[in-house]
Amino acid sequence: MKRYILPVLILLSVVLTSCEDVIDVDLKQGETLLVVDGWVTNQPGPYKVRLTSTAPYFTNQETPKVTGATLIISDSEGVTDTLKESESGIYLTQHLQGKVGNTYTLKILSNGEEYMAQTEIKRVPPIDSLTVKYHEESAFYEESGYYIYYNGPEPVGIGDFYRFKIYQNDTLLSGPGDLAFAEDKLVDGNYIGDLQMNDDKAFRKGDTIRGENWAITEDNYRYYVELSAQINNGGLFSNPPANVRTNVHNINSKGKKAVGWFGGAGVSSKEIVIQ
Amino acid sequence: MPLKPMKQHIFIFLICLSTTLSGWAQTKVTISGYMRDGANGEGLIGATVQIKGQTTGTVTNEYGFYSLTIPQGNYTLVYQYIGYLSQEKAVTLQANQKIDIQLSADQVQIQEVVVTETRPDNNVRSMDMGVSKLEMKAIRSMPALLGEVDVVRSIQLLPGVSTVGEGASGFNVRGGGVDQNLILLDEAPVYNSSHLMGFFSVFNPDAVKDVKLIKGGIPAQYGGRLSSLLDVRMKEGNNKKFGLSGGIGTISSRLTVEGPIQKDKSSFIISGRRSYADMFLKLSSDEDLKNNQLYFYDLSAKVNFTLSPKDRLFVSGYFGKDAFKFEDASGNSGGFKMNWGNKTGTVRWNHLFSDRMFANFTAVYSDYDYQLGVLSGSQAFEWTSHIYNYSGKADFSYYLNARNTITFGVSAIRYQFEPGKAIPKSEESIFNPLELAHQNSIEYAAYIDNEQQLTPQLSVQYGLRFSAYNYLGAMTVYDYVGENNEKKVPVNQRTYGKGESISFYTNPEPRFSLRYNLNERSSIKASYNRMAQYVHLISNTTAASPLDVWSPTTNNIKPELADQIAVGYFRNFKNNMFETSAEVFYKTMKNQIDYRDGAEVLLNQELEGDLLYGDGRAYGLELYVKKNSGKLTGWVSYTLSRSERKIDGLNMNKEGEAQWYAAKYDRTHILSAVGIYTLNKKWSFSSNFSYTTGVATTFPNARYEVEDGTLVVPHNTEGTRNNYRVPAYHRLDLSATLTPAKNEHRRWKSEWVFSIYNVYAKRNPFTVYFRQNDENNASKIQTEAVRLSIFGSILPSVTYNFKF
Repeated sequence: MKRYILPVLILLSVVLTSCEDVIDVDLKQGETLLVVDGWVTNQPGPYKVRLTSTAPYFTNQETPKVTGATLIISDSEGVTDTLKESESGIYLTQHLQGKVGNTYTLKILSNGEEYMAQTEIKRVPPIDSLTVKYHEESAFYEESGYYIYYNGPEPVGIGDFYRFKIYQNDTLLSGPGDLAFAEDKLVDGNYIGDLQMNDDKAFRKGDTIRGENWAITEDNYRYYVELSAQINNGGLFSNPPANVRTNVHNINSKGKKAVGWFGGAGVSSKEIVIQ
Repeated sequence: MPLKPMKQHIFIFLICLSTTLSGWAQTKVTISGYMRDGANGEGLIGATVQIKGQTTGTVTNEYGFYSLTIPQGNYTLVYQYIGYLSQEKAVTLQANQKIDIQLSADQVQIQEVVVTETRPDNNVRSMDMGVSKLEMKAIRSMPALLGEVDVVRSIQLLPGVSTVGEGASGFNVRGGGVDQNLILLDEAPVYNSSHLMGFFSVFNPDAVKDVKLIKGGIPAQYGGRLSSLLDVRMKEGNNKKFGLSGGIGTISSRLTVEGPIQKDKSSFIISGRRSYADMFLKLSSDEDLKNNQLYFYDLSAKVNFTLSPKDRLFVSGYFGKDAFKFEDASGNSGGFKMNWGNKTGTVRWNHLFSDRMFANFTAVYSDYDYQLGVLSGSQAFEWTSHIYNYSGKADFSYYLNARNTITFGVSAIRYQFEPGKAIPKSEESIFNPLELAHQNSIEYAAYIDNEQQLTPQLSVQYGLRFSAYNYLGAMTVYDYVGENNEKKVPVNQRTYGKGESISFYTNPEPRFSLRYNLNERSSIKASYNRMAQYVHLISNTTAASPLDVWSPTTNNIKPELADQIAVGYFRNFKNNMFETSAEVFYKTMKNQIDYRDGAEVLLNQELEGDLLYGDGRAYGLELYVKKNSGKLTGWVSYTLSRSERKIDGLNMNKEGEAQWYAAKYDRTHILSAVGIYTLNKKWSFSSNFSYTTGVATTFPNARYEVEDGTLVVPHNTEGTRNNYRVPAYHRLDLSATLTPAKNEHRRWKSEWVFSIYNVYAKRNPFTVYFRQNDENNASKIQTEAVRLSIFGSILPSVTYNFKF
């Protein structure tokens, strides 16, 4: 329900002739830090960890890849897997299989620093079905077309956190506005029915839509809350810019910091073809 | 608090008081009474009574009462009030005497323009420092946003006052937060002073009689907030004849009805205002728009009765609400709604125990609430939050003699916070009901204060306020442990029964001010005050929003404390035509509250685990020149200041120590100029200009990619807070008032106000934020800095005001 608050506030302020302009800002250049972006899930591997580095904010091109690093993931059952760099900056596991309930530790050796990150794969409820409704364009629907609804149980016990993903014809909707996540604090144990998944964009007849539910850890959820606040910023009640958390830490507390996330998730999915 | 310092304060106080009692034996008599406006019977606040040829005198209190005790003899008394014709009265004083005075407004005043030929040199003579009084007539004459005359916006043009951005609610005084201002509407606290998210203030200008802002040297009578007191007094209602006044504006329309219940003895006033943007929506044929709501209204009603020559009773109520509803007629989408409002009810009883002892007893009920919800469908819910206040106080003024006025009193405020209650609103709603624990507490205070004239040149005011605060059950409380950059974990659970004390705090709050008259035209003033604050606004957005969370002081959140010293030089020129002042202040604050990066404020059961605490400091220089009379009146104010915070866990250096950083309301330079020019009886013009340094904010110095390179995240590798400034803010507004010539000869008086806000269409930055360009593609992501301007263009408006 929280996600309704911001739109309301923004809408109200828009009513009053506010305007946005892109401006030039002279920003300082910060030191270069390691950026980690990797996942293990309960789906078959290989799992990918992407290493890049930070760049000046207005670079406007891909940030540099970090190559030649040593990455090892080990799980709570004692399995250890050294990742293989398949292309520059992309490291893949070789045999590890993610399992619900296990914890995973990522160790990175790069440029003389040693980093560590830990995560867990949480239980995930199944998606019973995806349903489709057609809506005409209105104040509530940005375009005319088909909208997808999620239906599935939410397991009893507070402490489940979810990230939702939608693939349209195998392409992930990956804009800042597509970032969708939720916690079960207010819906614990209830049947989640008729929950609209796509907001910004309507689907067409013939589209194949896959919905995925990623059960994530609590700190990962908080990471998404912070991330979303920074990349979907705006309006009268905008959040002051602040750094998004990371679960990657230099084992030497005086050493160079890292940013990004190494996440674990139980994943369930459902596919539907709009007819 | 250890008891020792407290004892010391009392001791010093007693010594001072004992010196005031000397010279007691002389035969003295008391003149007392009320000063009122001759036209409508309204009590005059802060009017002066003075013995001609002497410095002996007094001022009327908030109810228009004065009392002066002087030796028997023959005197000429001079009664004066800003904008009114002075009256002199020769008296032979043998025994106590009651003199009620009615002053009439200057001829020129009838044109609603501030022009006075003579004027008391109050600013030099009074004890007040850091005090700004704005005459409603000046506020009305100033250009207003969309023609909505606004008390809070006008205050923002005074020295030492700023805002985090136009359209942001509230105001910041001397580097303090918006929650550090005690806003009293007829003695009742107002939690949110804004309509429409902050564009307009909740005070209906037609019903307001007097506005006073105290930002330093705050008398012992007031407490509970660190930075300032905004004392707003509503009109009592005309007790001589019925009157009707109002206006039709671009945003809202106003109507005020007032009149006597019993002539000269009792009166009523009802004043209402409503915006009407949504009225046009109702006319729409579009079903989608028809059911939407977007409005605010406020209504205040007040009656007063003179029960006896010694007793007067005031009953007043205020209801204000903002409502917003966006409903999908097709029922496909849930739609949403949001509203918030203040409700207050106040009963006051003035009683004269003697000619020299004035007492006021006040009982206040107030309820600030907000509500938010999705109207239908699977996500239907309604979330409500309330802050209830029940308070009672007794204030006494004892006019001991011409040289001493002692005020003392007690107060108690019971707070009941209901931070949030969410309930599912449909059969298919996926939500479970949730209610955050209610928080209960009581704030007590007792104070005594004496204003004493030591010599004709030197006056002092010294007082002590003693406040105590009790955080009460029923409640389960925790301690929070953990790192400052992470959500802390609740431990050490304790459960308290109903009414059981969880935490108890006490704070002695000494107050002191001094005035030394160098000569007739100039004086030096100095003051010190300590303030304690027991309720706090927790906001993690740049501008305070109506949904920000108010929290009481708890076992974890400590009372905020501030110590302020200020020194000022006051001088008038050209027979008080010009008032000037220069003040410097230095303020330190303890137990300031901030939040860790990424904290969630809404519906957070463990909010205290996200809070961080530290110190604040603010200092500055305020210069003020005001021209009181002539065709051109107005003022120029300039503030040079700094406001910083040092919070454990924020803005840490490499050694892990917290560093000072600029608060979000730190403004290095603030310049305001207000000019009101009366061309003739028909036309008057006004303008205001303001310039302020940009808001301090955090800018990134790097970016990084996550989610397979699809999302670009701004990052500040140094982890510093508020390391940049958004560009400076400046704006010019103009207005013209046309008073038709036929007004003079008829009862129906009217005026047209034409105003232009933001004359040169400056796109002033409200915030600057960083985002990905919408047209990005996965391999090459564009990022940009975006400036949000609340008003991107000129805003003209026309308002029609009438009076009958």
